[in-house]
Amino acid sequence: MASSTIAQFEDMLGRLAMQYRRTADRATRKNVAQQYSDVVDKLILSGAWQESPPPEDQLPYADMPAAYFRYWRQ
Amino acid sequence: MSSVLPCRIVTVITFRGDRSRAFTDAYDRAMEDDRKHGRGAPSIETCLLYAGHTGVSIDRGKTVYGFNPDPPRNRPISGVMDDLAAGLAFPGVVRDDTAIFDAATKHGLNVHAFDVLFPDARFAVFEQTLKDEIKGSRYTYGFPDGNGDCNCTTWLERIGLPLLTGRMKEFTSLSEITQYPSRRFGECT
Repeated sequence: MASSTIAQFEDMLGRLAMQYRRTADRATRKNVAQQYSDVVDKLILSGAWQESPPPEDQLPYADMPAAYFRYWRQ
Repeated sequence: MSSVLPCRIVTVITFRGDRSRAFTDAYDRAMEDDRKHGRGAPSIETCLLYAGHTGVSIDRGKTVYGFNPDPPRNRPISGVMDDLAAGLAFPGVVRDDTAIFDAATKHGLNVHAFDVLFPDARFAVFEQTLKDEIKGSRYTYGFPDGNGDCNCTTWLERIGLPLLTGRMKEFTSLSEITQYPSRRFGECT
């Protein structure tokens, strides 16, 4: 996967985190969290994800995908 | 004889956090310890080295002030980060963060700086605004599109510090700027 594509996916995480914060509706948040998880899966599958997202591009712990924490564990 | 008055200097200092696998793992483990066992929380310095930070100086970098959240003392750091990620806001506090920027340099991060030049009168206004903020900030801290007024970077705009030069190329080169059709600062009720 090209580095530009990685950057696009990383940016998508930030946009989804903003969408999540913009609503208080739980169903909408769940939907955004699922989209976030799908993007995380794509980044992991790329094998080239080298920098974790900054805190403002993350979701609350309860809605972060488990795969995220497995991937970043050394 | 020049009619241009001498300018005073405000320095903006910023660094991008260390989110390498090693540092992310250490940060995540510390957060997990805090969340599950109520101990081993990452220090504020570690959190900022992970997240990145922005500050401002009016004495050529000797003292660097940064805008931070000021959560209740009994709220664990993992809870604070969860609250911010969920869109909640905390009162903002301006601290002398010089040591954080020194730590970033020692950690091997690229610490960037640029100057904003003001004529005397405008500098005086900015200096007073900064002093007022140090005494007690008027702003709440929040993550982008959350309920807060600003974070460490957008706080600079709130206190009247222009960050763009005005060159159209600079502005339109901010490729991400059009990817956010709107942006929210503060709770809309």
